[in-house]
Amino acid sequence: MKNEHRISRRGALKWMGTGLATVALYSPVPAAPDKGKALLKPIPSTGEKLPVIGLGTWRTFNVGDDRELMLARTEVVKAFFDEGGGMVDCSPMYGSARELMGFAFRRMDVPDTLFSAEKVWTRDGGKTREQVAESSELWGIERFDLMQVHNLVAWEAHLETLKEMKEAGEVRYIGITTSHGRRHGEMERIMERGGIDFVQLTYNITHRAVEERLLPLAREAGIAVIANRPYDGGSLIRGLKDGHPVPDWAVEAFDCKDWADFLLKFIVSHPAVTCAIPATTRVEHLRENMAAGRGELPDADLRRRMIRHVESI
Amino acid sequence: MMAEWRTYAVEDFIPFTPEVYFRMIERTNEAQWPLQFFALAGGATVVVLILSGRVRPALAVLSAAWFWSGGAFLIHRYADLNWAGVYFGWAYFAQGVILLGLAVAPWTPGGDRMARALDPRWLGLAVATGGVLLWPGITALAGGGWARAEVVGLLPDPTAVATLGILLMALKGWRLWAASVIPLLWCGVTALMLRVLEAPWAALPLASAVLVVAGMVWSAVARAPAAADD
Ligand SMILES: NC(=O)c1ccc[n+]([C@@H]2O[C@H](COP(=O)([O-])OP(=O)(O)OC[C@H]3O[C@@H](n4cnc5c(N)ncnc54)[C@H](OP(=O)(O)O)[C@@H]3O)[C@@H](O)[C@H]2O)c1
Repeated sequence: MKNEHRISRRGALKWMGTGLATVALYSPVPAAPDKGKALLKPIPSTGEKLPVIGLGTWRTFNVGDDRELMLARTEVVKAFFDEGGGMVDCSPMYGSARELMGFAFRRMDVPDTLFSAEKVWTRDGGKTREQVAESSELWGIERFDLMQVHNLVAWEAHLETLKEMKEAGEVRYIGITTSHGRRHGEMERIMERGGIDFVQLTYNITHRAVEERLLPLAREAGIAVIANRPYDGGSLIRGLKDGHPVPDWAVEAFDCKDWADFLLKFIVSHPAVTCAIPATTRVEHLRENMAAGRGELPDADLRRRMIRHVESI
Repeated sequence: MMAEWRTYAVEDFIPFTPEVYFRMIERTNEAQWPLQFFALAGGATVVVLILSGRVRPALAVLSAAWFWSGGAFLIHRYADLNWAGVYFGWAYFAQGVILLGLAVAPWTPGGDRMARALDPRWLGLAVATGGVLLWPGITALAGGGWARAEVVGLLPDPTAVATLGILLMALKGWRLWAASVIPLLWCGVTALMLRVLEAPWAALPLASAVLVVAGMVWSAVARAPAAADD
């Protein structure tokens, strides 16, 4: 999202404080002028807008100290920001993915559009701050935009500390995560208690259980939603790409370019979803994924048709 | 809870891609070159020592294989990719201690020659030979080149497989079972991991483990000519 007219978020934070920076972010801008306008959605608790396609890092960014692969993944990170990317989602559970983010950021200017989403993942409820500090050192950034409790591990203690940290301005947003449809009941109770800005959960065209309760609840409670496993870990898009063309009616209706466009637009067109975070090791896939964050979104009727179509394959 | 468990798949526990893992094998081999030759010679020596009835020195050399592959690979490298790597490394150290303990503890290893007739120890010899001599070839041919050859003593899989064969040749009774637990568990863990990584030889660690367990049962039931005292 390189745009001269736009006030850099980090710069603004430095000079004007969070309030003004947020105002600056209210204005939607063309992300990559030649590629079309990036679709942005607001975080309900502040109105700050985020590009609807983010970047996951599970498996894909865990390359250890393999320099060749570290450089290759750095290209993915660069392409992500070149395409106007915002949210990068990581976790202490993802092996060396946090180190990779630091490695990549030492080879580029940390982009203004970065929305850093990390997690706390330790059974020791007293180690929240320690782990956040460790992560920010590994990423090489001063503070995270979003800190989530990974898979609800020791969530009560972690959330309490995270709330304090948010009040002290040490983190901007806080949230909780789950995946694969696990522990939805508990998630629901935490959402009902309030005090969180984000939830992260699995939502894709073949896994829609969250449409029943969690997504409506998120809307009602004003909680932003990050959809993980948008390709069901990869098997979904690989299966569809293997010999199945995208249907003509989707091309006509919203200029659907490919399966990435089809699957990601399905997710982010749900009114409760703020962004989806596909992970990839490949720049060409990254560009396909980012392209889904531009153009028209399907409406409710079309979304139903999309489901029927994928179910029929 | 049951419903939640059904949502877990083995791949949820493998936090890296095949490319990363097999390049790690390759990079380990590069870093340790030319240790491979010494390790191979060491593995072959262990088999020869057992065949000639010298169980204690064989187990002592074998323990070094566990310390090395646990420390230099699992803890030093693999743990970068997988938090569980540290625990796997400790399990490898524990196995090293068990083998070293058996090498120095006061008991009387049997030194009798292997019978010509059918004997579970032949099964052990087959698995040990597979682990020491065939494993590098199989992993190189099926894995994309000699740089990816997995050699006993340096990497965990051939170390576990060869050890199982060697133990079946060298021990019997409770010592055989006790010393086989960790290598058997590793064969299960690695077979699952290799399956997720789509390695063509993913079934081999499990097949080796099944063969050895069959040999262990056979050894217990038939009370074959003793390789070692109880
Ligand atoms: N509990 C939690 O907090 C939790 C749980 C699960 C996931 N997450 C987050 O959500 C993110 C996404 O989930 P995920 O990584 O499990 O699965 P995913 O994003 O659904 O799928 C990733 C796979 O899709 C493939 N892929 C990506 N773009 C593609 C394209 N355009 N064409 C073809 N294949 C493509 C990738 O392979 P290539 O490398 O070949 O592109 C990769 O194997 C994670 O990375 C993580 O950040 C969080």
